[in-house]
Amino acid sequence: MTNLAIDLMGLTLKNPVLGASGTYGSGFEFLPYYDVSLMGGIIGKGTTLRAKVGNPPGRLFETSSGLLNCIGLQNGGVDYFLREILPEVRKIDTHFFANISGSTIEEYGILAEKLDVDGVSGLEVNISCPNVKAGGLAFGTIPEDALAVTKEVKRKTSKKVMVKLSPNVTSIVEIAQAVEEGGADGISLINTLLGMAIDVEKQEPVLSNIFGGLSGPAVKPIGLRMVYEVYEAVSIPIVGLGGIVSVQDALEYILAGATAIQLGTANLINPLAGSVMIQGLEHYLVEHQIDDIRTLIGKAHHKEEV
Amino acid sequence: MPYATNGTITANILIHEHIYRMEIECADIAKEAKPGQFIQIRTSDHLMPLLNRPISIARIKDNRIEIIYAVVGEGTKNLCEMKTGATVSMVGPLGHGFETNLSREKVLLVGGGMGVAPLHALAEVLYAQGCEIDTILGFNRQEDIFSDKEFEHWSNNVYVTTMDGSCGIHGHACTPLDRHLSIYDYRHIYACGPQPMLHALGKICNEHHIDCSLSVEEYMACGIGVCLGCVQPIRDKAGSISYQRVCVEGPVFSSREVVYDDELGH
Repeated sequence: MTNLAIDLMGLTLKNPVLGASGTYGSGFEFLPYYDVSLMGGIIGKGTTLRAKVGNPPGRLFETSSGLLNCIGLQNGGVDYFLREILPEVRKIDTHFFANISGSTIEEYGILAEKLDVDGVSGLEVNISCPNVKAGGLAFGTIPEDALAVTKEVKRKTSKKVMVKLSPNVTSIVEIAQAVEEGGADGISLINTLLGMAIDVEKQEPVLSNIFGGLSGPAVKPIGLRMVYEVYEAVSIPIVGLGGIVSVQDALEYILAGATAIQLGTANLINPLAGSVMIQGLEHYLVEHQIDDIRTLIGKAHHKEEV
Repeated sequence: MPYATNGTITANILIHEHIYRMEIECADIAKEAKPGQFIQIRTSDHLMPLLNRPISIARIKDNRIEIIYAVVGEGTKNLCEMKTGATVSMVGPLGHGFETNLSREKVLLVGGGMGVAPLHALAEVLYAQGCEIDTILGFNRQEDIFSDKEFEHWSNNVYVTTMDGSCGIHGHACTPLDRHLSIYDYRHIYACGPQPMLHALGKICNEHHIDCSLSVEEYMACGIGVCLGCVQPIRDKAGSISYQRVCVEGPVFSSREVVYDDELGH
């Protein structure tokens, strides 16, 4: 009997497969396709204090094995979430993490306090959105700010807190250490990489926001390298994401040090991606006669010590 | 309810130049599909192209659906190379299609370019319900014209327009409208095509107080409502404007809900 269950920040997850923020709705959107309660967890769509209309159309562009987006955190605001969405989320029997994004440190605190409710297992603090003007990425690029946001959120919630880091920095290790120092229970990485595309017929940028976040298989080697780096620098658990599509991708992230993984763009190209991934990981363990997936976490590092 | 499922290609025929008609056997999708809905079709076993391609359902027959597509890029190039008997992965039927609750009414269908495709299924249903159908099909050039003969079966009148005047009425699909609206009293106008055509038509219908459904197009990723990539500005009954998803709330919107380019100051 193989074990896929993992411990993440003191929570027991059925398996290490989570749906990434902004690609998994609130979970129930996938119910026509499979039993979403099979998932290890769900990270909700980015939630802000007040409703956000998002950026104008011209929000998407496909690149070589990648996807650029500049959605701009379109959401109904935290009160709308609590009133309209959370009751539906509670019907799904898995861990739900609310993803929060503030334009000031205080806003992060208010969001954390409002979301300290039943049905929310934990928070994912987005200090890395590349597509909004105020806040977002700004907090994710300066270690002192990242630390301050983390501290404020921890102070205002009884829930487990993971902080989602941006790859758009010189040293991801510095930021990771800052949020650990701020009291984060975990870290998720990576958010999207800032990129752009230009329409050569119109001779202007394709995206309405000019720049957008790049996701998908094209970014996987970068995310993987960053998880590997951060694993050696912090002692809190890491949730790895960035271009994971195949079972091999997920295993690479786990071997690099991720306790769990998130599927993002994969959900957009196949609504069954979550269910396929869980089955695939189980199959891998059986084939390789591995009893417990937890024995693989960070294993790629151990080789160096020999 | 939509399905993520496989189908078997039963035909994939070049209509002409770069336009193909593909017939796919897939009972799950066929039994649920309504005119104006679409499928997300996988064009490769690999990760390039990465995204599925959203393509409107042109016809629904028993356990088969038909799509009509133009080869415009890598994804549709892959599609046109697929052989009869091959398995294709799809999600669908998706989106909010045309309302087809009219019977024995006089209606007008307006299709522009590839926007003609979803009007086949619509015409079939409305015709079966006893509607009197007129159809305007707009194309760029004579060489682009397709399905005009098919629509003759369901329509009292089929008018073809071409932008270059090489066939039929010279102009775009809305060119014959002024004359039509003064002669006929249409209960509903249904349209699919490029945005400039839809916006021109929508504004005319609003001025004449004619119910009008517009099937819009937008760059799309997931097709199932989670990425919020394919939005258009839409006005609700109270008059407030928000970005709504073409893949879930659309692709068909009322001409009264659509926010026109000049209102946004473009």
